[in-house]
Amino acid sequence: MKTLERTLLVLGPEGDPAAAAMAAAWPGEVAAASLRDLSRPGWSLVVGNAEHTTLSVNGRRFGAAELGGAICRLGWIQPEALDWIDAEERDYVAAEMAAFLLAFFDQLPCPMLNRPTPACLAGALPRPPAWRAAARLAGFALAPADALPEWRIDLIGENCFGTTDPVLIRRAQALATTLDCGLLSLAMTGTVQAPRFITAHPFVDLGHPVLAAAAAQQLQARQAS
Amino acid sequence: MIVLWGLESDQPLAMVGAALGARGTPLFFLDQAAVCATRLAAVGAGADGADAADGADGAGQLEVDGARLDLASVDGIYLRPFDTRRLPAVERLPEADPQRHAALCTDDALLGWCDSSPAQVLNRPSAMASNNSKPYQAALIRRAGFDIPDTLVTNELDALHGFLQRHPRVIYKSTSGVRSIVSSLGDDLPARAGSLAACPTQFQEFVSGVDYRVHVVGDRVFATEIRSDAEDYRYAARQGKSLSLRETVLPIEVAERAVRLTRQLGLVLGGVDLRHCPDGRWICFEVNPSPGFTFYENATGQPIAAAIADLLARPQCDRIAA
Repeated sequence: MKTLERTLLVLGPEGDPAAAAMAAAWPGEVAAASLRDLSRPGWSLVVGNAEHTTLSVNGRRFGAAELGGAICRLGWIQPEALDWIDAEERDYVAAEMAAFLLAFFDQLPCPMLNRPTPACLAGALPRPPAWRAAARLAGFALAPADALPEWRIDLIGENCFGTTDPVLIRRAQALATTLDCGLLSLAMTGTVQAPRFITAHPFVDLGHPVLAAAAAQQLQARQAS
Repeated sequence: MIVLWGLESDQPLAMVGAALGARGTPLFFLDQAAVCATRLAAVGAGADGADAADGADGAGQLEVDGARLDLASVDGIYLRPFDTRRLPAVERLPEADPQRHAALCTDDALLGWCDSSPAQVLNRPSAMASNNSKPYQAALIRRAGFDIPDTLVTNELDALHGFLQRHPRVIYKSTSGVRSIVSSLGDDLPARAGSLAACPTQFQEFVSGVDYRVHVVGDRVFATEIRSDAEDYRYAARQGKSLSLRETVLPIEVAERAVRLTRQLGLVLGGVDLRHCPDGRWICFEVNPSPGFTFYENATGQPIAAAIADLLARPQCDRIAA
């Protein structure tokens, strides 16, 4: 199957605008999955054998080989989100689903933005001290941790949105490289001349068409390489 | 100064505390039960306005019921905190209660400090998290060179039937470690099939052999051979099954692989669960990042607590990075 014909998997909240934006940007089909799909038959993984991975989205089944890319827009699973599961089982099922998805995405052979981590299915999400230590190492000046964000820098692979300052771009990319993030959003305060880092997270606003297009381009480039 | 963080009733903490006390090592017990009276305070703002209590360089001051500890003076910490949300003092508070919020923030700040501090930390919380997904950790174990049981995680009955055809005996257990009791899949399959779709479940081939728990403490290895007729020896007493533990020595190559695996997982302390098969293979089931080692030490006399105390009290130049 040609690269451009492969399906993009987007796992996110029900009604996630990112799925629609990615559908407009991705040349092939987009399978927009939610947690409810995990309670429909069709999901399977064999540890260490990625070819046997299968998934089911809106009743349609896929094999891992059919995927050209994947994005997980959920960081973790809130038991309250599982309203089709018996209330007394939701804590347990949330933990089980999160554990499954971590293993599932970790061994998915197609490119991902980002690979999951045990702390966050959507990618690196260290606690604030680690973020700030990494940002300091990358060359950022730090604002107090409780400062209110005034603007942001979004990184999608090599593409940077929110600043054209080459020094800031370099620092942001250094931070993303340290944390192995293909998607990274930095909360900033201060002026363009004196910017300061507050915190960061992997939840780039992929509902924005420009950012969605950049993400699609990154995944395709990674598939080709 | 060595910090022990957890509950007074925690036996591993108590044994390590006793071992440190016997050495005369300065010790601070951070009682998790006092979380509502615990604060991480700023030492002073950094030159760039950053909050120095964010622990980015190990700085900060801990206050517990009036007692203060400069975090920069901490050489090592052994942490075994319980889920703060389930502590009686926190659980009884309404969701929106500011005291509850403060307790959870303190908890998170302490975990963040543990992740970033230059002290010897047993173990860094971010490294321990891999154990929250058994198949994820199993993949890491496999990449580190250990055999693992054939493992299927699925909510698809056809996939399970295919797995059962390949393996005459199958066990199932939780994927996350919550409610983790190993059970054989047998006559209860038809009854469980209906609920399989609700959430992927972990199935493994049953592998016969002799169980070993290997405690890796830094670069030291304490191996215990376990013989039991229970499916899961941890519950043998509860089930009225037989159980015997004895200290043993692993083949050097297996011991070294266990140490390497622990380190590759970002851990300094680990409980590695192995099974030695009749065909000679060494299967690894998991690495417990916060092993309840007292069960094994009490049965065999292996000086695991003393080894942990030794590791915590090492001078900075001898600390083990993970």
